[in-house]
Amino acid sequence: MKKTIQAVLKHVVCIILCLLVLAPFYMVLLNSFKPKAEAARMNLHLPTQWLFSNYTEVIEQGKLMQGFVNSLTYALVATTLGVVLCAMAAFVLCRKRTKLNVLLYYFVLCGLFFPVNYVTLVRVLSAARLNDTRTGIILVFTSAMIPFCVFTIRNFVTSVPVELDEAAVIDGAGPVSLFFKIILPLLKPTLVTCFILQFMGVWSDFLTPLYLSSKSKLFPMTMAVYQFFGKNKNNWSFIFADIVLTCIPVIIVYMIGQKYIVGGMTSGAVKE
Amino acid sequence: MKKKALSAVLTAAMAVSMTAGMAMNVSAATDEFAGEELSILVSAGWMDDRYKATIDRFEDTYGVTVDLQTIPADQYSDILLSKLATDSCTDVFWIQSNPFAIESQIVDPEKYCIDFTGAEWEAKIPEVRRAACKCNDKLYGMQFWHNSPEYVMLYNKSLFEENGWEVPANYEELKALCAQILDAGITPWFMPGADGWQHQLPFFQIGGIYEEAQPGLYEALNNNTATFADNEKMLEVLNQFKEFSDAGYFGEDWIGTDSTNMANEFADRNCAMALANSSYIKQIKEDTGTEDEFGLFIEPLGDNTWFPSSPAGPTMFGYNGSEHPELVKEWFNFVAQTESLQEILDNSPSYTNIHANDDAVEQHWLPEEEEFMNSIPEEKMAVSVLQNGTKYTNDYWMNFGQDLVSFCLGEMEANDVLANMDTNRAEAAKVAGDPAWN
Amino acid sequence: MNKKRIYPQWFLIVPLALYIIFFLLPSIMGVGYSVTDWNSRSVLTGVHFVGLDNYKEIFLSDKNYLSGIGHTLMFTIVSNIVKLIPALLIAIMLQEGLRGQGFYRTVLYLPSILPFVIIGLIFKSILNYNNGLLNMFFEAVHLDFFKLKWLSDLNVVWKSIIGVDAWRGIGYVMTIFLAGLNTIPKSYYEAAQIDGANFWQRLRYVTLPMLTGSIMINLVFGITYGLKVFDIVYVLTNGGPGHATEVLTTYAFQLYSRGQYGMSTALNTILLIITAVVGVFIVKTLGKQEVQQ
Repeated sequence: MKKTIQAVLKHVVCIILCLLVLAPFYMVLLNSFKPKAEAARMNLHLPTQWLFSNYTEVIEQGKLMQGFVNSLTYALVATTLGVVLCAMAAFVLCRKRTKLNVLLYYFVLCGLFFPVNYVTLVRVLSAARLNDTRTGIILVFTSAMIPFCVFTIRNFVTSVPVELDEAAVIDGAGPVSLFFKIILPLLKPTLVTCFILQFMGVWSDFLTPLYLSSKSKLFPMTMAVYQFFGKNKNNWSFIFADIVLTCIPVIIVYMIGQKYIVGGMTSGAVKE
Repeated sequence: MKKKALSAVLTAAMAVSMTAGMAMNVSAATDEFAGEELSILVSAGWMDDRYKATIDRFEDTYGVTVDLQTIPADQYSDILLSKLATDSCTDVFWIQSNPFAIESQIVDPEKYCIDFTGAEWEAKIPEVRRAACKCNDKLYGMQFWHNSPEYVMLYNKSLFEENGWEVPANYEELKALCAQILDAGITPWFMPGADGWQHQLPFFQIGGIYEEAQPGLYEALNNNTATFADNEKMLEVLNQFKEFSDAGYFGEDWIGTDSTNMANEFADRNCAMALANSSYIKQIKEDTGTEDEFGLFIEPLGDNTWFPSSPAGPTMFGYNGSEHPELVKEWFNFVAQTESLQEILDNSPSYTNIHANDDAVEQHWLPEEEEFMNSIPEEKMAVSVLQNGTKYTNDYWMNFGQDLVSFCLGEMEANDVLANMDTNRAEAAKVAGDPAWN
Repeated sequence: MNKKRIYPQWFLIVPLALYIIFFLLPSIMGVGYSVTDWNSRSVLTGVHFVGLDNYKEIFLSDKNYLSGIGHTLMFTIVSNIVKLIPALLIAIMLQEGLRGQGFYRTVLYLPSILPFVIIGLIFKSILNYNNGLLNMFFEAVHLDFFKLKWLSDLNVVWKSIIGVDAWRGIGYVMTIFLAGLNTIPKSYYEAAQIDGANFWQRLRYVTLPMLTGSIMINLVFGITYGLKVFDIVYVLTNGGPGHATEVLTTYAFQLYSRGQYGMSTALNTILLIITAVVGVFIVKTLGKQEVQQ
């Protein structure tokens, strides 16, 4: 009985929280179907006429397909690369705490605090002949997430018992198969968390590609919304439709990802 | 009769030969640039769809592709700066230019800009706009912008007529009118303070009145022999502004209100007046479908009678480091053609005219605009608005806006708002190495 | 056990190389500008070394940088309290096998996806005094007392900013807590349950100690974010009304947009130093606790 009441209470709290979060989203969604001037009112009334054409026009005018492919490429490749590389680094930094490695850890950590300077970044990139390329943009994204990921993942490696490593090595596993076959699966919840957070970070960062490329075909999807902004011409319904479209991929990634966050350790190999 | 027929034949023959000549030119050009790409860097709102038809035609004519890169407005100048500094700029770029902007924004036009001196299209740029396109007597930029009355008082004419309200001609009349409108439960003057860049306009757009009160003021400000601080006319206008703010004539919470909903506020008759572009009339009508009529009058703060002329606008430049400067030159020639200018105007739903020395372009003035323009004597248009007629002023637009709000909230004195502008301008002058300040 | 063999150092090479070349190098080069007179005229005059002049000017100038630093610190402290505690409680609630928790989690995470410009746009509308949703809601439920000038009243404006920031950030913090909660073996709770521990006791003696890692991560990120805060202030008030919500970064932004790049970098470098000192301090203290367990 007490448990049921508790569950009901929890649901009530959750629903209130969700309403608080969803009200503005509902507003965005609703207004994305309205005519321009009606959308500017930003209220919660139903549209007087449902303009689904807002979406098709936004996709066409904002060149959303091309942007979508770019954004997806940047976010998927850079984040996967970043998370795996950082997991490797974090694993070694955590397990083998030599003086050098502790120093290296703090060295990487400092990256959390440094501001980005695009002018010098462009200079470095063109010295490496990587300006104006997808590879360059992806490498910059990956590099920028290294402090975040190393720091986060290293904190979770501690929760994987060292005994596992030893057992695996006794069973004849080399370092590579130890890491990829034993450690990586155990770190899954952490890695997925990092992936989700960084995927979103890359997805919404339009400035980096903007500074690093001088071709519009490398521009990400999130840039498109600014085409509908202007001092004297704001097309509100287009802005809202664009926002809905750019949010969907991140929502999907989160929904898929959050399933993997659950479980992990408790259901994994560490049951005593 | 015979004469007429003859002349018709002649004209036709001329037309044919001219078209043939043009066609030949075009085919020659096609070979020359085929397959190349012209890249353009521009801030959102300066080109948009307006140039689309022209770009398409340019692409077809020369067999090239145009890569148009529209950058979010608040990122634009930083991006441009970075691209120029790292020698990776696009073939064509834009800046918001005024007579001082090339020097202060591009800084080294010799290094960065293609020198167009002697180009035929210079003649098409209106006299008053040329200063914003030239630096040290060299022609760098091309400015074709609209010439609608910028930021004058726009009012709901139908509402005024129904209530028997008269258009005010001076400050006292405006104040009395606002009191009446407020009594009727309507916001007299819609002021979108939360935009951050609009509420400065009432002070700056009436530059003529400051110059009238103190002849030679602009030049003195530019030579550092006059200051904003202690300028009586400016103080008067600031105090009037605060008076209106305190009385609620700008609305109950103008500081927290942005312009998102402005067109609807007009159509709903929630507000009666606002400082806006004349073409905004068209937007209100089109967006909301209201049946009210609108009109324009001169902003009467400070008993102003001057029309805000502004020789400023987005201006197009060629990048000196471009890989194909000849193609860039062709692009500029192409844009200056009558056909292109007409296309650009026709594709600009929010503008009614394009300011160019080209009588062949058919303008689409609104009747309200013509009426208003005709009511103003030519000499009242002679003084530029304050922010574009004096050096370094426009750079501190946002700071001035913040100070103005502080003043209205009672956190700051009027004269300090002006004194801060002096301090800031001096700082900019120092950075620029301006001899008048050193 | 041969550590060299199980934990090969070469695992570090690629990430470190990327980090140094494409992140640290440009950033440090950028910071280097803080000791130069780099400005918008430098194309003509060149960039010159000026030593610590920029720093001197920041500390000695009559501009109100100090109030900016004060606001920054206030925001950092308050916004972290407002985000971390609710996020932790929500994460715990969404961890214990509630039906539909996947849905709730996704929904609560949603706000951090939105671009700041859009958040600014939406909330300027919602917080509008006359026809904003919030004030209309308060009117409808006859709580006119709460009808405020959210973005223009000097006493309210910071609360609005912090509120919107919490709306945006709680889901993010919660996600990191969730990852941490998952590493706590269920058996610990079962043991605590058998001992008859109530919710607060379990929180105090099981959850919090086991969660040190996540708390540290969230604190470091939260404090770094707070000290560097820019976007949320920029899109909601841009430092206003007047100068009431200026922070260090809005000052740096103003300097930059005026072409005083060297000065702007110097201000950012001061921020960098403050952030790094605080951040490393947290990592060291909390890191020690972790070892002690």
